Amino acid sequence: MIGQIITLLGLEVRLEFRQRASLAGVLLFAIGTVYLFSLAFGSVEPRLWNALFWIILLFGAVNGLGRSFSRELTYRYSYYQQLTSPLSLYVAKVLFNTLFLLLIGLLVWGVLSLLFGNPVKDIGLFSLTLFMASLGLSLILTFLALLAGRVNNGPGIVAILAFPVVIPLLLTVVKLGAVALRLIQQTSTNKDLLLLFGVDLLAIGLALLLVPSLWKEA
Amino acid sequence: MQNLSPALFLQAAPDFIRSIGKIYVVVAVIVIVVLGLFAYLYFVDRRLTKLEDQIQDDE
Amino acid sequence: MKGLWWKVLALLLMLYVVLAGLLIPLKSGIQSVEPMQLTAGQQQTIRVEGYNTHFESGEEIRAWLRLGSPRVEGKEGRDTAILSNSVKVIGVQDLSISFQVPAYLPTSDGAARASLIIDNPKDGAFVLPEAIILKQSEALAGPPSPQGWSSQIENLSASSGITFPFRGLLAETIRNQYFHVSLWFSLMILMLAAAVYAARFLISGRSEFDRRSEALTKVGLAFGMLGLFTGMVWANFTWGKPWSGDVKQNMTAIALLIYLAYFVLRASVASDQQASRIGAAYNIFAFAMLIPLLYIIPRMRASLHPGAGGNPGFGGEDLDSTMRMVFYPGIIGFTLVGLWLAQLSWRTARLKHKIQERLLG
Repeated sequence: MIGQIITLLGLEVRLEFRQRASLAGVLLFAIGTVYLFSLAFGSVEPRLWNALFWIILLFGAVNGLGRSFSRELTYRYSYYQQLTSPLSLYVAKVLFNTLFLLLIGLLVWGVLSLLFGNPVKDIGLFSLTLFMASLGLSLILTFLALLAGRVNNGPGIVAILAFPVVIPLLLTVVKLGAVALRLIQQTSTNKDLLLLFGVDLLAIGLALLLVPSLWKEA
Repeated sequence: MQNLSPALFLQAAPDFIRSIGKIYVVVAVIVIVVLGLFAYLYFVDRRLTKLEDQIQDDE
Repeated sequence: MKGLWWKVLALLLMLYVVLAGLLIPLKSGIQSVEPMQLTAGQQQTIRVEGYNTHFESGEEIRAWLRLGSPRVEGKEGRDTAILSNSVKVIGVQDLSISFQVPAYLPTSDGAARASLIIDNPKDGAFVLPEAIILKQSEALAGPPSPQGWSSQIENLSASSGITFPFRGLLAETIRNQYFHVSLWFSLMILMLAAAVYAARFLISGRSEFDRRSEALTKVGLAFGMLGLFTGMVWANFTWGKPWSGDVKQNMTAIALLIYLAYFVLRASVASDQQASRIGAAYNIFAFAMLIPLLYIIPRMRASLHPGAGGNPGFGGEDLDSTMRMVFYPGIIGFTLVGLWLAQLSWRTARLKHKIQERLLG
């Protein structure tokens, strides 16, 4: 199982490097947005910086992860089904998407710092929040992408399904981000991190239960 | 300005819906619930009518 | 008709909840106090308007001003309070109460909030928390002193008869507990049933389970809309506006959006079988999201709803045993009504399925 996951993860990474389509697309979107903001606003205050960062990450995630299974669910589907278990493919996708989002997040962080300066005071907390947010978004969106994989207008459906689910997650990370930027003082940081962790655990549990039965059907 | 002291709040000029200890708020809530349940029944009824028409067309 | 008994039970429970919920009176309370500020060291008179009270002259009516939080039932110890020196009955709802406020407050801030406690034999004792602000007079400036503040609040009369609690600005709308709150609890039960049927469908593949799951979700969503609207009506007259961006309001709106997406998802799949399978998986996912949205996140944030900020949601003073006797039947009643509506839906869906099969075959 673990060997399978590592192999599949390697395959994902190599495919991504060969095609570079989704990473480049999302990066172009992210950098374009930041650049537009710099043209429109000139300078960005820390509160806006925080909101901008997470919103770009969210939209990038919905754009990039919505098509996670577009390859597998078409021509290669039956071949994959014989070779691997659906769960290991799913776990590999989640891991790849988490790394993908982390990379996007770090790059957006860099670009934002370059253009508007870096207001992050607590780098440890901000990085931890970024990691938890990437993991959470990746878990939820990969699952929804699998759901919407066989639906007409799949990526559009992923957006409809994802937004209500992702809003509470986004609210929590925006709050944690604000703490990391020292915009608000607050004592319940641990509780918020715990909430993120809980959402991640919930998504993992659901995936373990539901992915096999979603996959079974041709 | 908002003073949340209960005594002040109750001294605000009473209109119809706030009168008699705001009992009409409860009445409004019950009316909404009952109307909602009837709306649901209406839609189920309409779907059944459609099915009945289908059966009659068939026969 | 088979399986009629629980529908009769639903009717009886709803009848009981509406009747008991509307007819049982509220406990007596204090509606307004005038003036709201008293100066220390003087003999002063306040006008009190009661709610659901039965003041009569000749009865022994006593009143106290008590500093600090309202008296906790059964707590022993000294009260920091003064007893009224005369209570005059003006009408069944109106009193005129005189206090001799001691020259020095026992607190050092120069001002203190006092709750007003009134006790009469017919209605029992009742409290208006933080009814009056006591001020140290400028002419009599001096160190704080506990002298004169040692009246014991004792020998309180018990109220007779069955009543619901009187809670300040909620007034009669406390009865919405049986309609608005019960609706949300029954929604939770219906959505749980929908998720269980969805799981059974995924395990067995029987289309009947999927029809039931979809019908229950439909009723649950309808209940959610009703819960949202009734909540907005209630909020308008207690919190001041229908939508105050309260965390629980926001999270329930999001939860309803998640369930709306369930129907969008089903509608956008071409084949019925796939719609069932994908819909069932999403239904379980949506229920798993519902619990944190309705019951975990709102408790972690400041909210106007009870149960926020780590407080217990129900129980304590806000839901006494009389209210439970109506609230719990209300939950069961609404759940049964919801099941009945859902049953109508899934039977209709089954009929449609059979007709289509016959047309095709």
